[in-house]
Amino acid sequence: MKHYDVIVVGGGHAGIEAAAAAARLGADVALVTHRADSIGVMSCNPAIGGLGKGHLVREIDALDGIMPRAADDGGIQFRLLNRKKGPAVRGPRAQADRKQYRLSVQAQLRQLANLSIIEGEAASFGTHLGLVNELALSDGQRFGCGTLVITTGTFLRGMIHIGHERIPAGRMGDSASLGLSQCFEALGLSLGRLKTGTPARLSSASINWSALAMQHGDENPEPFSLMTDRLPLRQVACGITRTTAATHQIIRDNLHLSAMYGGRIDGTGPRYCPSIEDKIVKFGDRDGHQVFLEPEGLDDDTVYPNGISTSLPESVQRALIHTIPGLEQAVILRPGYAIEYDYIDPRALHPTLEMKAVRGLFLAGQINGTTGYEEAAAQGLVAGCNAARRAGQLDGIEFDRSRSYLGVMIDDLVSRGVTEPYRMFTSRSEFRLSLRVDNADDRLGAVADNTGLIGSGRAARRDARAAAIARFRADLDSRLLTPDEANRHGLHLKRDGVRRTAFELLSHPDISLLDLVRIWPELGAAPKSVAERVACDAIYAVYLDRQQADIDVYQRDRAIALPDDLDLDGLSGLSNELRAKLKSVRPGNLAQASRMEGMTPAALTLLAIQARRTRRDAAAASVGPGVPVTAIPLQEAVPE
Amino acid sequence: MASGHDTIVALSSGQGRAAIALVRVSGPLTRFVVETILSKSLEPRMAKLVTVTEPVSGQVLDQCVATFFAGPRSATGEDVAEFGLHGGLAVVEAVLRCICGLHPEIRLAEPGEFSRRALENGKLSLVQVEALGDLLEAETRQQLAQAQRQLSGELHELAGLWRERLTRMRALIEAELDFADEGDVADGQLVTVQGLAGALEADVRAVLGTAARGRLIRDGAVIAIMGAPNAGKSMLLNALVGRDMAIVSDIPGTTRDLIEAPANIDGWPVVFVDTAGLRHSLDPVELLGIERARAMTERADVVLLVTAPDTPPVDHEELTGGAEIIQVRTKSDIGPSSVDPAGTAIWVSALSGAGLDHLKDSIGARLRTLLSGEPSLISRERQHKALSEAVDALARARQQSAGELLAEDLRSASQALARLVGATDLDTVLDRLFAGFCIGK
Repeated sequence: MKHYDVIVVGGGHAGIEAAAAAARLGADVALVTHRADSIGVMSCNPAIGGLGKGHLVREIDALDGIMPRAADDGGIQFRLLNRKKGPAVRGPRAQADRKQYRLSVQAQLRQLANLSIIEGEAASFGTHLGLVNELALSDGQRFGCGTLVITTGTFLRGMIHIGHERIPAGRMGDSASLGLSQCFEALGLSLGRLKTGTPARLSSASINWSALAMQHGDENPEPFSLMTDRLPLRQVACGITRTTAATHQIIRDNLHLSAMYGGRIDGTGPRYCPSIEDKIVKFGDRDGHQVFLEPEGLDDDTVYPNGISTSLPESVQRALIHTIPGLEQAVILRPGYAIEYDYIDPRALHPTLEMKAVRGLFLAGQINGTTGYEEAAAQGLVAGCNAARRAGQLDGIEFDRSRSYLGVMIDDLVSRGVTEPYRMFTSRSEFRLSLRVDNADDRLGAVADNTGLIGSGRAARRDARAAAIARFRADLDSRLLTPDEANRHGLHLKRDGVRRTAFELLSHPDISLLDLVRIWPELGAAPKSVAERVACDAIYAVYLDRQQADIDVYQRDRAIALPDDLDLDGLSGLSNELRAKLKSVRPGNLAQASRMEGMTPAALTLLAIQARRTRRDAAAASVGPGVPVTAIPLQEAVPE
Repeated sequence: MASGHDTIVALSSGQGRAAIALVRVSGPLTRFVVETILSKSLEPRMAKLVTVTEPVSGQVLDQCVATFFAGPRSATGEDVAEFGLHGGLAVVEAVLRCICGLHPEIRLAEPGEFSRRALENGKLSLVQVEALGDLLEAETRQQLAQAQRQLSGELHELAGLWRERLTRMRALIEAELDFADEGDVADGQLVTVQGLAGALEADVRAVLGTAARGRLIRDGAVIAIMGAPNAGKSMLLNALVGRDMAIVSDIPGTTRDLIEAPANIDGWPVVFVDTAGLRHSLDPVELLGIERARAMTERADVVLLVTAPDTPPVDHEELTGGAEIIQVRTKSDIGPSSVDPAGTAIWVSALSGAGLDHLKDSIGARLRTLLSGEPSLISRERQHKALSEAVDALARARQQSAGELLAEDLRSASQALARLVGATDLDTVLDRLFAGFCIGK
């Protein structure tokens, strides 16, 4: 039986990053997927990035992942969202040419010598002594493995709904996976059902583009990856149109035919990606809902009408689309549908994305209850990295929520579980001002280096940029101005006689980089991206100091580990409800526990005490009896 | 926000009136605290009789026995100081305020924080650890009962409503930040939210203002001197504060604006405010002064209602605020003034100083009434702190023109209110957001 260090099941965005990350760490990796030429397919909308999601892509880039470069290679319209708002909430987004994106992914994977692609359908996995050790395919092939990463997306008992029609499938045209669900159930894990949907695809030639408003990309598009010097593809525009009163009437009249509203779907759908039925039912008072018409490629006739995902029957879809301006004659290439699939409660995972129940088994992507390419890819990277480390007997890497959106996402998932498909938003981070798209390299540099996830080429570019940033910052710190001098330059400061550095000046809301260049023209020589990065640090300087205090508290709690075998039953003073929750989640540290629903300050103190007691017991046991315990009287009366 | 490196302080003995109140300080700045408020250092583990002095004002707060324990040989493993104060509530509160005000890294302890530090520093034995679970549970029940008692009714309900308003504001601003590109989110939420933040700030501030004791101790009680023109108000002010703060003349209506003079009565900080004489006038400037004087009746904690033998009495009905009123008869040297049927008026001569001590005693007695509070001293202090933090954050939010910073300020305010009601702040912002906006392309 052929043996691999790491086997990855699934060739979607999670599987790609998992396989590539494990291979970058030197593991012997196999990627098992239905069809090798489907690796990197964008099953839903043809876009990468956005608000929150763009942050994840930059973090993937800091760890030298695949997605950012594929998006740059395939990008046909780049926009920095929230450009007019603060740097912490800006998010890069790109429309991608589906084919070019996929080809770039596949080309990047081919560069990894120790990565094999196996075509086939994963049927079941085997364990020995609580450790995963084998993967069987439905054609009877079996492979031995050190660790296994499962990234099956919507394929676990996937069920497509179009009106009253039900088609078992993982994605339109690909069969669903049933065996793995049974494997998980055999482990006693609870599987839930989630739902998502996709709109009909339209023929570009049948759309009356001349009647539509167009949205163009940025004039100076900014790539996702630090490694990208130029964007290879021609940039195109998207069309914008709106649903009408007639559209809404058709939906209302046919609501009973919708799979969603006909009671045929039990799974919970995402509130931030509602079907057009949802929009009409919940927000019917609106006079229309925007629809973006996104070309799926430069030499592709397919258009993705973003905003009208639906599970209505095809005939109704056609009728409603024809009521939308510009789409009166639109030809449907493929109907929209809703898909229901199994997910595993992510509270069954360690923050390394390894299952608590089975050593060596890692999960990433939609199977963990998330939605989105970027969320999947980011988890895949973490799972692949940790799977390779586990296979090589190394400790797992946990990402810190005060350092990355990656950490925010995984902490949210494993501490709180999901009630709807989880998507990243910048508002999910309490440290938002510190987690920006322009400083992902600083935040994840140490992890990238320590794990070996980053290649030498990218590390060199990163370090050069970091050095340039540090130089510019030092330059600003060394230039001083009194208020009087500043006033002579037209900058109005409080006349307090305090000399301020150029960096401090920059932190004033009214003072920009241009003002400084007026005073010190030589500052204008710094590269734009470097100068802008330092300016962002300045804008947030005051707030970042305040945020650092919050981060310190979080770090302190994170350092208090709660062992897996922590005795919760012997802990008096804990409510039964909380005890049950703690037993099912088993938080790994105090910070994670503090984010659980229903947690109280007193319970946290109890947990910390118990953790300490467990450590003491362990220490006493290892040293043997007769170890004196220092007794210091408890003179404590806690306030309140 | 609480940080593990802060120095913490709290009343460690029981609540309410007691002969001795033990205030404990723990953390890296403990020596600094000792040396600043005692003006000397203490030999470790030696109890000593000391004088606690507010370093800025030089006001003596108490004489007490203090002990310093150098870390790690202390209850928490850090430097610890203990002060056995004379149990008056006002004294304890003043000392806590004084210590917290010394340095930004000194703050009131969170519940259980002394235990937690002891635990982290390995100061608890196995036996104690076992006992602590029960202890904490009992304590938590007590805290809960106490918190419910304190927060019963209005404040609790209000805090809930405020949090709800904050959630709404946060949803508005987060919608614009996180979903600018999709859904039916209109731009321009920022100005709306600024306005909402300002309105909430005013509401919280108003309630904070009613936390009279807290304000009295921090800012001093406001004592307004009011009366008819030429009743000798300005002269009384100068006599009370012992220096010439106001211009004194025989011309009625000399004082046009409010004149504020901080002073000390029985060790309590007070602010005397001299006001324009109340009369009908046609002079626009004097009228403005009179208007301000009348407004003082809303703000003052105590009003000294001044009459002289040679001026008409002022109608009681004009004083609409809830202030304590002390009737003062000035110019006792020139003869008895208008009748004092109740016999409660205090006769003074600012010129000779006669009756001034009597007046000060009377003011002191009123202050003690105002300052004597309910038993839940520390909680009130914590509530006050939480509300102040919320107000500060909202004040920043109101003027914040960057959306993400406005959101950050609102988050701070939310956290402060969550601490006030002791809730774990589950993030309901997204729920609110999705309910209000049609998000998603």
